Amino acid sequence: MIYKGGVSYELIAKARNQIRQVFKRNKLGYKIQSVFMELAHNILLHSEEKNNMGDYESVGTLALDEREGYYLLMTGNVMGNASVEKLTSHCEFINSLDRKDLIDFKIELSEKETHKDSKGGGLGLVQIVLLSGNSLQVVTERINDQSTYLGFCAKIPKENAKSLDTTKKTPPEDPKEE
Amino acid sequence: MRNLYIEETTGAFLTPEVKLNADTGSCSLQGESFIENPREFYQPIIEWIDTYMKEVKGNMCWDLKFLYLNSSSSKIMSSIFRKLKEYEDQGARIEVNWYYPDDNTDLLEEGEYFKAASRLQFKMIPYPFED
Repeated sequence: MIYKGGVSYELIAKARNQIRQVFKRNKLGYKIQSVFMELAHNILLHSEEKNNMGDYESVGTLALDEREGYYLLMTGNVMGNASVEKLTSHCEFINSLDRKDLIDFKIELSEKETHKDSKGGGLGLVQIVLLSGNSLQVVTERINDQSTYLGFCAKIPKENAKSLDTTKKTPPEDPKEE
Repeated sequence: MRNLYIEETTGAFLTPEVKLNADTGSCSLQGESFIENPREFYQPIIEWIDTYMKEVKGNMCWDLKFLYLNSSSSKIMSSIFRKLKEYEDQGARIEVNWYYPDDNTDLLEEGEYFKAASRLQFKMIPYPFED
């Protein structure tokens, strides 16, 4: 599945319903759907490229691909250079954390007040890494002095489907707890 | 004090069904949460809890059966649980039942995260899910 164009709540809902249908009998369905929605929501809230068709929608690219051992969810959109720098360092920090520290960081972020006009909770990237169980890859390509093209890539291993057979997942750093 | 009922919505925006009973202290949220402005949706719930804490001063039992909530909704739910914990620390008894589909460890982990973030006692209750 590949899409490039305006991203709206209606589009996210349609794509999500399609993902739900395709992964109806797959235990990874919830993960894929949730990661997709966080990534798509990021485009909707933060893309600086807007279409000029009257509705001024945020523009971006969304892709879902199946590989041999995993699924890939990729997004791309244009952002301001300053925002990209903040986002990439935020992402580097998140990627450096193990699962327990990620959960602690999610708690820390949830306790921070967000500006009343802010639509994002600041937790989206943390949630993506927790759900996928993998680092979130970030690629950037500077367009000019104002803008950068930013790409995210989340990898969801198919082997997760097996671990979902148990009701409690063991954190990778302490397998003895199961 | 009035009860609060908000119907579930599906479509482009997803909001859970909300039932808050001021007479019994029985409260439930059920469904999915993905909205343009979660703060606006959850504000009446926060205000209802504030009024309940001031006027009714009773115990509460929360039944939560989310099928999906995005990170922005999750952040607001965290603040609701912290508010409930403050109320518990003032002497109220708060019971939280977190229902999750038995094949969905992500939703179980979301409940465990809320438990850790709020320090409330959560009862994790799996149920067989059929899509």
